[in-house]
Amino acid sequence: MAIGHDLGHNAAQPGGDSRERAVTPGDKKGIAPGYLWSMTTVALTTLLGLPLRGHIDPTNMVMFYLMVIVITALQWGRGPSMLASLLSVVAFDVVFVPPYDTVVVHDAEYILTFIGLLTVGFVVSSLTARVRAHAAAAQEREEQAIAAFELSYDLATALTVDEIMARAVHHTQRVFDVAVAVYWPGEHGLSVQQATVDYRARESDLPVVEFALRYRRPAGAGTETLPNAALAALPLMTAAHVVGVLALQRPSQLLPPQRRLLESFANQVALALERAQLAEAKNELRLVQERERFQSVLLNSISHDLRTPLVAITGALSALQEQETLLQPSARAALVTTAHEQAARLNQLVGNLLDMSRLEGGTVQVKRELCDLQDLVGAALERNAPALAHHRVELHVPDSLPLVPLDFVLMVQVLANLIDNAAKYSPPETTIRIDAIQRGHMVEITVADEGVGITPDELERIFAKFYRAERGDRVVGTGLGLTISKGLVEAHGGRIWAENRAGGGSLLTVALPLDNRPLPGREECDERK
Amino acid sequence: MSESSLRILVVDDERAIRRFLNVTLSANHYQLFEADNGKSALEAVLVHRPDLVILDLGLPDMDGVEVVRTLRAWSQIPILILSVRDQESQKIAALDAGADDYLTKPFGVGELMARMRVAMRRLSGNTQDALFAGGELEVDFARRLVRVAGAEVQLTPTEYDLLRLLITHAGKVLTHHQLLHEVWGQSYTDELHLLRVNISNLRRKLEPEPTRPRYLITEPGVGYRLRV
Repeated sequence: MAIGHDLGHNAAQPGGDSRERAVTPGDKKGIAPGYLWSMTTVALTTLLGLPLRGHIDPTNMVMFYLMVIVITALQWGRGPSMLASLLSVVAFDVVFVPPYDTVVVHDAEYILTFIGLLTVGFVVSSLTARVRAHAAAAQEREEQAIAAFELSYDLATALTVDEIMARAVHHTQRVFDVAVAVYWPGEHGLSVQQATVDYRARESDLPVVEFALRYRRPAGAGTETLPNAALAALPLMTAAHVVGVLALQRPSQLLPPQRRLLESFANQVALALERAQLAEAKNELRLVQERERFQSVLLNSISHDLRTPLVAITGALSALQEQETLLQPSARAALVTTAHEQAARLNQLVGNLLDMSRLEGGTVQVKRELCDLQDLVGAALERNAPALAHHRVELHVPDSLPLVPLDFVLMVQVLANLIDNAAKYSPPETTIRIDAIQRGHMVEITVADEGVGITPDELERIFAKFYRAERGDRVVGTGLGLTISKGLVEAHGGRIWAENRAGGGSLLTVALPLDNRPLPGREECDERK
Repeated sequence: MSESSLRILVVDDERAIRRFLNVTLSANHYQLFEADNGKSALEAVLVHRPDLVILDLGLPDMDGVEVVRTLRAWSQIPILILSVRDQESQKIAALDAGADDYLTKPFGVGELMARMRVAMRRLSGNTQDALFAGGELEVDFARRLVRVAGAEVQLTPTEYDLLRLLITHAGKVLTHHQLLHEVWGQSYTDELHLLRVNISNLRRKLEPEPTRPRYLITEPGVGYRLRV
């Protein structure tokens, strides 16, 4: 443990010396009541013993006075109990020792008793007072230990650097009752990172804090360095390096045990901060590794997707080139058709990859203008005309719908993708239904099919990159269509989601805002009327 | 064999694409000329006097739009541009500068031929026949009469002008700018919603299924086309 060295604290002293006595509980109540108490109890004891005068040996009263002295010592400390001793002797002499009502004694033996009572009184006072001080010191040590434990526990459960600092200032304030802050080194020097609400940061504090940081020693009030400063600064350091500075504003004079506790705090906080920093660094490293691993998987996947159609194309064309004479016209026609289809698939994949990369690079520009939804749906259907050849299409896009602000080209792409999916994932001769309705300040366009639907756990995943729904026989498509659609819809400030239809099949909904609210993110919004 | 074949100039810096076009078009009895950059394209037009230019927008030395503009300064030769999917703005600029139609790469032969035919139709006889008939749509320009499936349809003057413009360029794409400019005038070229509303109205009046138009086709981001 790294501890500051110039605070002038001593090694733990075995109990009462004049400085430690200053914080014993009795003092907190004030001195005067103690003396009052002594006088009162001595008087009371004397009065109570009065009826017994003459019937018992006066020396018996000494016991009662001793009791008063001990109790006073325990409750009120040395001063009052010494007074009690003195008063007891006097009272004893005057009231109980014949001749009554005078200080003079006839029997010289009683002088011994007086001396005895006084001496025992004084000794008992001192000893009891010391016992009290021990107890008080022990209690304070226990309190400090508890404070240190609580801090330690709280720090152990804090995860981030900020949390640790927040808890540190909180605990320090609780125990030391001052405004606390943690200074953290940044690009422009030290600055307050976390502080209690009553902490007032001032420029004039900085030299003190900087000293503590640079020289790894406490500075400010209560130290040898800049002792007139209004704050005390402790470096938060571990064996390796200094991570920050703990600053206490206008600390009251701290006694050695409190200083020790404060240093212990500083050390614990420093350790916790170092731990948190290391954890964060480890996390980052793990993320980087994850990202790299993911990217290499991605690259493999893309490479495979790009090459697969090429296999068919190259194969078909090379067969046509080299085996022309062997092939029947029908065979040649089949090869040509295959090559053509695969080329289209490759084209689509390339387009999707480019779209995806533009979406992620933030270079997609959404140019909104008021558009007719019928126009939009019509254009999307037109684009998918060949795919829809074997499906029935039902449209419910009412004339009464308002014009919607959107980027026509981008939204056609989205709708075309949804329609394409509906066609791909539902059997021929089934119906694909497209609706558009207004809901409040949004408009919802839905594409419904009568296919097998989507399993509940896939409802969100289908929008993930490269996700291809398991459909058994063929894997069609690039797995990017819905991801791109989602990106484009969200760039409009809209939402897209999938559900299953009650009667079987899937339902994809695109919700777009009808107002010209600002668009999210980096995409530009160029609005024409 | 003796019919003079139409002459096509192909401008593309990619040799493979030139070869593909050459082979295909020659097989269809067109006479082919090639150029691989803007400057030589302009020269080739002067020298060979083609009937149609197929122009790729991504040329090494000049912006394809610049080529169109320069050509249009002194020639009404039909121009078909080849564009890439993500170059919408360049495509629109080329069309606004005077190109007749476009093809998005990669394209098939069928599309190419269809577009070429439409672009060159101007060369053969009257562009403005008094009567137009396509599918169930009939328009009698002389009497300002529009009929769908035999039933007469009432159009507003603006709707009629819009329809007539599209019919005049039947089969070709017309950009938003061109449509607005021709039908509404110079100061209306930004009033896209006017165009959309009128197209929407026309569809409701003329199309059996307005949401799945048969005649008035939207070219997303570019404009509209009357399908023939």
